Amino acid sequence: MALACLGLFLALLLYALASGTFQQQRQQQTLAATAQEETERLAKLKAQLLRIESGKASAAGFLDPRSGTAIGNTSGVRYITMPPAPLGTLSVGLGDLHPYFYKLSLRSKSFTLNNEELENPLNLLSGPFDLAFGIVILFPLFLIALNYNLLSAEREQGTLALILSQPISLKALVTGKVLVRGGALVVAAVAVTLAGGLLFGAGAAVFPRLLAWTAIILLYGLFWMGLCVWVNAWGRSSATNAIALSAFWLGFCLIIPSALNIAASALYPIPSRVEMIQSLRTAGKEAQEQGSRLLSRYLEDHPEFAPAPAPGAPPAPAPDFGSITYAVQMEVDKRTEPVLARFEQAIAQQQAFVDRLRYLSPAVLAQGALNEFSGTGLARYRGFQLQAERFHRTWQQYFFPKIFQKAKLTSGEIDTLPRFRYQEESLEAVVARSAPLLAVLTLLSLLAGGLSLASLRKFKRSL
Amino acid sequence: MLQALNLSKAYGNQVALDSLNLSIAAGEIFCLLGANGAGKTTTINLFLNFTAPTSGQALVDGLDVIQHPLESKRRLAYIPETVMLYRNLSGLENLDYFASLGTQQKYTRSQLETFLQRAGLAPDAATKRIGAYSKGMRQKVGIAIAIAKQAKVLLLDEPTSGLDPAASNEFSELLTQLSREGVAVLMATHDLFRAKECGTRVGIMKRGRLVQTMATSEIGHTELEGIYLEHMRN
Amino acid sequence: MIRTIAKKEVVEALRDGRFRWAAGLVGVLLLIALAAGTRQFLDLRAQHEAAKTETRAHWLQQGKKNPHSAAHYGVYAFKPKTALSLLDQGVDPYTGVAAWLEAHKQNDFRYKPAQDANTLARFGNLSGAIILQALIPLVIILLGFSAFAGEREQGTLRQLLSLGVPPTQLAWGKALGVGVSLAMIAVPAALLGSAALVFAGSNGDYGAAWPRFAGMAASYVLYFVTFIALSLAVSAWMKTARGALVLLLGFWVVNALLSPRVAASLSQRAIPAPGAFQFARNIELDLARHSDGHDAGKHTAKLLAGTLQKYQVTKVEDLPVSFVGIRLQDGEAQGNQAYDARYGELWNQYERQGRLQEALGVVAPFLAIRSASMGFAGTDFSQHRHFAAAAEQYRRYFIDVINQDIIQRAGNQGVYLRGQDLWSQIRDFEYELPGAGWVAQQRALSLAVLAGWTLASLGLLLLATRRLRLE
Repeated sequence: MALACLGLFLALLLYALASGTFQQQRQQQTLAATAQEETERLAKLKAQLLRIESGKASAAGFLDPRSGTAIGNTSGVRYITMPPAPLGTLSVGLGDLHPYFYKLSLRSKSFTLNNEELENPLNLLSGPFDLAFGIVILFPLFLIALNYNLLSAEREQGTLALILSQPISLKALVTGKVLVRGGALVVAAVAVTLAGGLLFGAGAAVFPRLLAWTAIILLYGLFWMGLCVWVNAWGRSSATNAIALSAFWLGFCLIIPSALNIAASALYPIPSRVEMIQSLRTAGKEAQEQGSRLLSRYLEDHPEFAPAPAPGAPPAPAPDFGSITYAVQMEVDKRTEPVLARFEQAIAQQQAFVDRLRYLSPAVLAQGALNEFSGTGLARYRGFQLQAERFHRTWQQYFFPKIFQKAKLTSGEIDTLPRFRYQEESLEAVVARSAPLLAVLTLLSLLAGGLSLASLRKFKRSL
Repeated sequence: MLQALNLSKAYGNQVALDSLNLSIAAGEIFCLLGANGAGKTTTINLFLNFTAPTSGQALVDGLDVIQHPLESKRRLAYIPETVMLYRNLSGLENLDYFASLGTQQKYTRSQLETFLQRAGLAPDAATKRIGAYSKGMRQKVGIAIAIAKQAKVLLLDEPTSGLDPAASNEFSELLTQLSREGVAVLMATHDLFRAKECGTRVGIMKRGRLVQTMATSEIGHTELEGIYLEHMRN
Repeated sequence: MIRTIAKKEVVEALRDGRFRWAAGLVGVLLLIALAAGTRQFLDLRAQHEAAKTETRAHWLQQGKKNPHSAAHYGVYAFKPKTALSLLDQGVDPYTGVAAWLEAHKQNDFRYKPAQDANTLARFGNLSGAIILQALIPLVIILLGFSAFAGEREQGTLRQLLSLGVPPTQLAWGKALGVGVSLAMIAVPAALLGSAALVFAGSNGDYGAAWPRFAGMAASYVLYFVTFIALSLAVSAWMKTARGALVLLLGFWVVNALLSPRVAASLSQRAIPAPGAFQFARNIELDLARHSDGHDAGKHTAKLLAGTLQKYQVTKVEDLPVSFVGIRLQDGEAQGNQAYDARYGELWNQYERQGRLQEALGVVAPFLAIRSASMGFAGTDFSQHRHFAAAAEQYRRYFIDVINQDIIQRAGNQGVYLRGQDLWSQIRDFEYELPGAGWVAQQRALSLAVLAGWTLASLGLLLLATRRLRLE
């Protein structure tokens, strides 16, 4: 029975690892494909520009292939990509919902940075079967299955009195039993984690991250083992123990998180995306209507970007379509900034509320810490988003002056187009964010351990 | 009323009951004596159709218990070593439940109270939850079920073991009372004294065989004990 | 007799502290979930209706412009909320809320609510559906695990059988008892749910809610009966109450916890679907192929030659129709072909993944009830697809109206502008939710699996009680 449990646990963890690796590999393939597509497209563009520069081809057409509009918006755009999380194969975390690449454009931020991964919504609803799920949700269940009748089974068989009549302390007996049964599961979990991390881990600081995973598994396991002992020390029947421990599991893994989620949504409601779409549209419409006025205003602010009139030439021609479009895009960004900011602030407020209260459930703590150390937590995705926003501005600022000045890009410039480099967050930052989680998890584990030992003393007196 | 015809039961090679022939008439109290594993409980289980015989027949009021599993049970009441009842229900509620299941009819509260009273349960105990009952009180609820059922046959499996002498005596008197009303009683017991006191006949069982049967009116206490020990020795 | 047994089971359950606690907790959670669901539904519907009006107003008031510009401006299609979604949100949090309908392109639904949700949301959203699908079975297990095994351990089983109670009657009585105890939680919740539904649907609901509600309720009854019969069968089969409890809890874990994730991961592997990048790239390549490879100029020249021939003229200026319009409409036709093929393929892949998961309901009835429940709630993928297809039909309709206007009236020279008279010629987008019959057809597999589970578990219960053991 115990061996079958252990075998099943190991099998599930290995499947979880395989499933996480599958997800991670899909991401890697996508990133490789974006890189390849970009390289090929830019090479083709460069060749085309070279042909035009050498007079072998004409630049005529609806849009000059050398123009900033053509290059910055389609033919020369780069991808903004974030490399796979260092231990993403162990924990999918937020990776299945949050984008890890964007294709650039010169249009507004809300238009450009609005990439969503395609996935069957049914699969998203089910959630990923990754190692983090195996540890946060399944691991306690297996600990409970092996330890729910530590003492009650002995009493029901009538062997408890016999054992306690031997020269062995109750504490030693229980600790020995729980550590053997729980220890086997802990060893299995740590072994699969280390194997997965060492085989498929990538990028920055895999070793310290794996060390943190191991520590979390130990602490979390200790918490549940302590709880098992404590419930056994109530001196009730095995069936009651099983029910009580299942109730704790249900409370920590489902009810507390869901209740907090409901409270968070009620107290800090997120404004509707539907409304947001409408405000963006209104802003866009208004900006559009003032198109040419916006351009002249922009050029008043930046006279250096105005196309230079040839000496003695007639007055500057009417602004062209491309210039107006981008003047409008910039105005759209400016006008929608407050709408988006309000939205992000509401999300952040709700998240902050949840972050303050997540200490109520060790399962939530463990999941949060595991995601952090895997590189699939919220902060890393937010960081990427901010870097992407910054780079989108860089990209616009590189092209807009060229568009306003009606400058033509040369083949040489294709190689020097701005390139996004993802700044991986430092391990210190991860540690700093996870430190309170780990501290409280440690505290809870010690509490559960202490509680169980104290209750054992009481149990013995009641014998 | 209660008849065993060449009744045998074997578990694999182990013979639990070896061609038992027994007939208990209405108003009789037959006490089965014997060591643990002699086949007393097996006999009762066979009459209850809880286990199927290897060969032979068990009849209750002339009905084969295998062919008429439900009708035969309607005629009998069973009282095990400890009458098992629902902890969360009171004595009255337990009686109500079992009696209505056993007889397919609904009793009024006062009827139920009468049954309990006749079984000797104190009126104030009837509404208490079973969790607080002593063994003697549980056995009385068992008797009350039998009374409610108007059982013609009582099957008792060591009903007095663990009862204090006074409670045990009270229980025997209840049995005598019922037998006087025409109930046939089969009681497995270790209590030679009790068997002599309230039984009309005693049978001694050994390794599945009924080795000797005698009427209690014909023997004394010491004589019975002597015969019993004699059988056990060889 | 069955009634007597059931009555006693209910009395015992009510006196059992464990049941009182569990039932109270689940009842309270159900109330909270219903309240939260109703509130959310009302908010979302109000937003949706406001947005629908507003997007129409934007469309009508876009002023004088070239009709093709208007086509680019487009409209938004907002996915409506059904009243039953307050019980079961289904995949709605994981599909976008709105799609932009514009010229040339079939866009995806954007803004998944789940993406904006806090990090706890993925732990499990305490919706009515989760409570009904996962927590109520736990209560049933709690009520049923000791039904036979506990009586066997207490010794009352011998007592009962000595009375001549037929074991099958005992089983039906106990099943009824569990059912009635459960109804004490379920019926008030169902009444409140119906009240919420009436309240929510009071100002006009999308589609007829009641047949759907009936379908949903029937599915849940099948699911609960399955669990009741299964719990009693295991209790009759297993020696000890402890053994029965552990086995049933194990089944619960496999059913409610493991099955959805394992089924998702299996279906992703068995029926691979492309990611966003690959999908967009496929369409890009298809579009390029449709317009004669990468040489768009050659295709345009061919189209022009064909048009000139059709109207028996030699110059664009002499055409009685606008060539720009013809080119636009031709582009639409090619685009539609590519989008139909690619989206059709993608959505078929998703539906096949979904069907595989429904079929896996044979192992875990959770998968079947989940799919049936969100089907009737109108929140499954099939109905998302149904809506997306309707939105796409509307997009093609209004782009077609605009292009025909351009073809017929724009001519081939000068600037062509239109105003509100054209914009208002285009009817507003109205969506009709398919009926309960359509849902039953779509979710036939799940319903069959549920019915199969019910029959099988009842059979198992009969089998187990026929061979009811005493020790």
